[in-house]
Amino acid sequence: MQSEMKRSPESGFVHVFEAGMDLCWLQAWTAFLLHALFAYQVPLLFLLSVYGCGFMTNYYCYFRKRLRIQVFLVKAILFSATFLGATHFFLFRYNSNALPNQLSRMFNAYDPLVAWGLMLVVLVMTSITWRRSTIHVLKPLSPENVYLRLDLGIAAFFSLSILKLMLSAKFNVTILYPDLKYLFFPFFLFGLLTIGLMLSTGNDNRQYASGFGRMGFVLSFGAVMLWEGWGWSFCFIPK
Amino acid sequence: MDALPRGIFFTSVILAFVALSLFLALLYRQFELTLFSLTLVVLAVGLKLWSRFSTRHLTYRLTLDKQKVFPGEEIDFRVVIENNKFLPVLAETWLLIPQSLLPGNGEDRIKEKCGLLWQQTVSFHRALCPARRGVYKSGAPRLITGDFFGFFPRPTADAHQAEILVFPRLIPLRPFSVLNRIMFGKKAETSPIQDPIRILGTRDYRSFSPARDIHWKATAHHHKLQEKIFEVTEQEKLLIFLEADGFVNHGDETAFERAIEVIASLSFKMDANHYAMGFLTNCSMHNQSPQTLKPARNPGHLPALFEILAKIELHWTDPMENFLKKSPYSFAGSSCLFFSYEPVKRTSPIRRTDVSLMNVICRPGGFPATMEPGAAVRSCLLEEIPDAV
Repeated sequence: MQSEMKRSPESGFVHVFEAGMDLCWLQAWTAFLLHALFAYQVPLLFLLSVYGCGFMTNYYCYFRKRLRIQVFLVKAILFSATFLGATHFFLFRYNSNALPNQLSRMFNAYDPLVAWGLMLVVLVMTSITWRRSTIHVLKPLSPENVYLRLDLGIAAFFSLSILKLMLSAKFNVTILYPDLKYLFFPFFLFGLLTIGLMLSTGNDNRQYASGFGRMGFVLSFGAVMLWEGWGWSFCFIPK
Repeated sequence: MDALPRGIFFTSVILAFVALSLFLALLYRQFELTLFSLTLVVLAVGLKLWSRFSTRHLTYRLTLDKQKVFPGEEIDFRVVIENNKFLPVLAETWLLIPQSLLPGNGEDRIKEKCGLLWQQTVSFHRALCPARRGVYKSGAPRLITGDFFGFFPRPTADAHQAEILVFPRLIPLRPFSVLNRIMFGKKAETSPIQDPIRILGTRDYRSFSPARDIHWKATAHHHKLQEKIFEVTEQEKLLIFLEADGFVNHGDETAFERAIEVIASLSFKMDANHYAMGFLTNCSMHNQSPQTLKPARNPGHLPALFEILAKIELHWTDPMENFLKKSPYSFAGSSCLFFSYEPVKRTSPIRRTDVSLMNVICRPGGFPATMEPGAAVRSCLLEEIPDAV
C-alpha cells in the first residue's frame, strides 16, 4: 500500500518539482534528437507548454465525469492544438533559419523526407511529454512513485551520456548541444526536493523540540527556497 | 544491518556499472558523462554516510495513556520518534497490532514513513480497544531510519514492547450473601480494639477505664457512674479460591472466563461492603506472577486482586490440595468461596470445621447427578450469581 500525499499547499510545490524532474530529461532527449538530426535548438518553453497543457487537460478530464468518447475527443483536440501551437510558437519561431519553419509547410507531402522525419520526431517527443503529464495526474503522489520517476530520469540521462560517448568514441562525432550538466543538476535537485518535501509534510503529529520551532521553520523554508532557486536557475541558463 | 536501497541506481551492481562508465568517460575525455557518473557516485556515498549517521541521537518509545483497563475501554497507543540532532533523517515504522487489541473496524497495523527534520518529534497513534481479559503485548515496532530521502534505509536493533493489562469484565450480580462464620453474635472480648462510635450498652464504671468512656446521661439517670460498652472492631474475611483442574480437563474456557468475571464482580461488591478479601488459585499465571493474595483491606488491594485475575491462564500448576496444604496463612475464621468446575471433593483440606465454605460449581447444566445428598458443603451454581439483565 502506498502512502499517498494529501492535498495541501505543499502538494502544489511537489507537483511543480515533479514536473521539473520530468521536464529535465525530456528536454535533454528532445534537444539532443532535434539538434543531432535536424540542427534545431529546443527552448524549454516548448516542452513546458506541452507538459502544462497536458497536465491541465488530464486534470480536467480526470475530475469531471464525462463519457469516454467525450474524454477521448477533448484530449485529441487539445493535444493537436497544443502540438501545433507549441511547435509553431516555440520551436519554429526559435529556429527561424532551420527547415521547415512554417505550419503550412509541415504537412506538405512534396517536402523532402527530412521534413517528415522532423515532424515525426517532434510528434513523438510531444506525445511522450503529454504521456508523462498524464502519468503525473493519474499516478498518486507517493515516495515510491517519485523513486520510480527518479530512476527513469537517471536512466534517460545515463543512456544519453553513453550514446554521446559512443558517438564520440566510435564515429568521432561530438555533439555539444544540449549541455547536459545544466539539465541533470536541476533534475537531481528537483528529484531530491520532491522526495524531501513529500516525506517531511503531511503528518500533523510532527513538532519541533521546544526552543527549536522558529529556527526549524526558517531553516526548512530557506533550504527549500534555495534548492528550488538553484533548480530553476540551472534550467533557464542559456545553453 | 542494511536494507536494500531504494532506487535502482543506488544498488551496488548499477553503481559498479556507473563507476565503469566513469572510467570510460575519463578515458575518452567525455566531460558530461564524467560529471554525471561522478555526481551519482558522490550522491550514493554521501547518502550512505548520511544513513549511517542517522541512527545517532534518534530515540523511539511506545506510550499508552492507560496500561490497565477493563474490556471495551479505549487506549491511545503511540509510537513516538525523536530526532535529537541537526541532521534530518527518515523515520519509518512498521507495527502489526494484535487483532485482540483492535476495535471492530480498526486498522491492524501502523505503517508510516516520514522525514524528520532537525530536532523534530513525530508520533503515530492508533486507538486500541481490547475486548477480553488478559495480558497483551503491543508488538515490537520495526523502526527503519536512514538518509532523509530514504535511499539507504537502515533497520534499528531496538525492540521495545508495551504491555497492556485487561482486567476481567465486571458484570451485574444478584444479591449474594456469603456464609458468616459467627452464628451467635460477637463476643466483646474477642478483639482488644473497639469501635468508639458503635455503643452496645452501658455498665458500672471501672476505675481503670478512661474518663472519656463515661456515659454522662446514663450516670445522671442511675445516680451512679456508668461507662459505655463498645462494639469490637472486627473485619470480615472472605477468601476466594479458584480451582483450575476441572476447567482444564474439560477445556471449558467459556465457563472459566465466566467464573473469573463473577469473582471480579463479587470482589468489587464485597470490597464495597468492607470485607477483607483474599484469593488463591492453582492456575498458572502470566510471567509466573504470584497465585495468592493475602486477605487485607487497603487502597491497593482490589487493583492487586484484579491484576491477578487478569493474569490467570487456563492451565494448572499443582493440585489444589497441595496448594491448600502449603498455604502461608490459615483460613481459620474466614468465609470461603470455592469456585470449581465440579463439586469440591470430600477429602479436600478446605472442608474443615473452622471454615465456613460455599462451593460455587461452574460446570454448565446444573448440579451433577452424582452429587452426594446431604453434603456438608453449601453449594450454588455459577449461573445463579450473575444478574440476567
